[in-house]
Amino acid sequence: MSGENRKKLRRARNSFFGTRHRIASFFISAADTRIPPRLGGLRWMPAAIVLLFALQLFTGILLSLYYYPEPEQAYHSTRFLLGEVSSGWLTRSIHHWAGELLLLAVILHVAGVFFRRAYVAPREYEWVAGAFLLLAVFVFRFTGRLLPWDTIGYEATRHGLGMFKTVPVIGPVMATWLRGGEDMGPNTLSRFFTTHVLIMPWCVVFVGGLHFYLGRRHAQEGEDS
Amino acid sequence: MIVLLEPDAGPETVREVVRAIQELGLKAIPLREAKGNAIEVRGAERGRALELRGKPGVQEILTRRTALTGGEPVWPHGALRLAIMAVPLLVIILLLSVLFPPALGDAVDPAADGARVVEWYLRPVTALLDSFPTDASFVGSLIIALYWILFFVWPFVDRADPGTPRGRKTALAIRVMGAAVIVLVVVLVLVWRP
Repeated sequence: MSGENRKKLRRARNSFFGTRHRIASFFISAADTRIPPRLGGLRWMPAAIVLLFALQLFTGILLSLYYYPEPEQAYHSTRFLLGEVSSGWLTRSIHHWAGELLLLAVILHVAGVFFRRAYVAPREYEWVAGAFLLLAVFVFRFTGRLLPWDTIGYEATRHGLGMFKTVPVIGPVMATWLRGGEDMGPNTLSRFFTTHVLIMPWCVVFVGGLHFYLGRRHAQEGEDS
Repeated sequence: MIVLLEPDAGPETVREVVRAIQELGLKAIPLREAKGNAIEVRGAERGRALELRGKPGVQEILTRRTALTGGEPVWPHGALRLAIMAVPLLVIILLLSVLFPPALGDAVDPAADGARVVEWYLRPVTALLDSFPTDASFVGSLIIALYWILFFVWPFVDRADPGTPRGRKTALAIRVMGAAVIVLVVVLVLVWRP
């Protein structure tokens, strides 16, 4: 830790908040966390992923203010958002493109880690957490496509769920469970909405946080990714 | 900081490590009393020793650049780099959002049989499943399931040691196979249409 930051840390610990909550000292010591110099190639991708996810959360919250997760209202509320709400189309558009780029960024990050062989011991579990993160972002993207309840999203989801049928024995059961019945309908929309808005954000935060924590711990032990 | 090499590391390995450390902007001096198996690194902020296995190359030095150089603090260096990266990214998102807003289709009619829509990230999987006849489509799903299982446990499968010649060859073969898979997937995403 540099001398300047050590002084700041001491000041923060002795401050009003520092003596009561240790929050200030936590932030000061976190700010002094060492990161690799000169991030080249795809090494800045994790930062892009965090930024894109934050953007997804922000625009997703804005979209949810006007959205109704029922088949008829879902479509009309999306149309209302596009036509009547100020900058509604832009918010939806940003949410869409940030989602596409988020998935692309996670795939590029995985490819970068693969080619650097940054998954070798002791980083095996960091890779596993990253693989779960990729899966979570896939599910995020897939469940979000149905929510406007338009023909494009409906057919894309029907095709995606149809692929489960090819899996022997458990495939059709899984497809029925995901649809909430034999055909796509209100149950499907409700399940996809809950997964997209309530379950997946926490999954991404948990798995991404674990991935980040393991990465930082290995970096402190002298092994960058 | 002292970088310790294995006792059987030859002068060629020492020279390569010295060159790699110098590329990080640090001064590297092989210590004579340690018979070339230790290198003193000057300019590094942290003063502890770093042990390197086998015959480390440039990549092994690069993966230890935080320990060797002392790294940079998250604030302000990391935050500044994040800001520099964030601006063009946000500009790209805004441009894409304004120029190519996502289309909203018609209202859903569950009775109608609509056109087949395949999302870009599902194209490689769909192409694989379509390449099998209907009664053998489970083979395609089996390949996809095996791919995902292999993807999750890959670090436990790839145990090649880059410190040995055999390990380096294995690592190169893995990279070439990975590149071939990526090229195939990219071609399917860009070219293949349902």
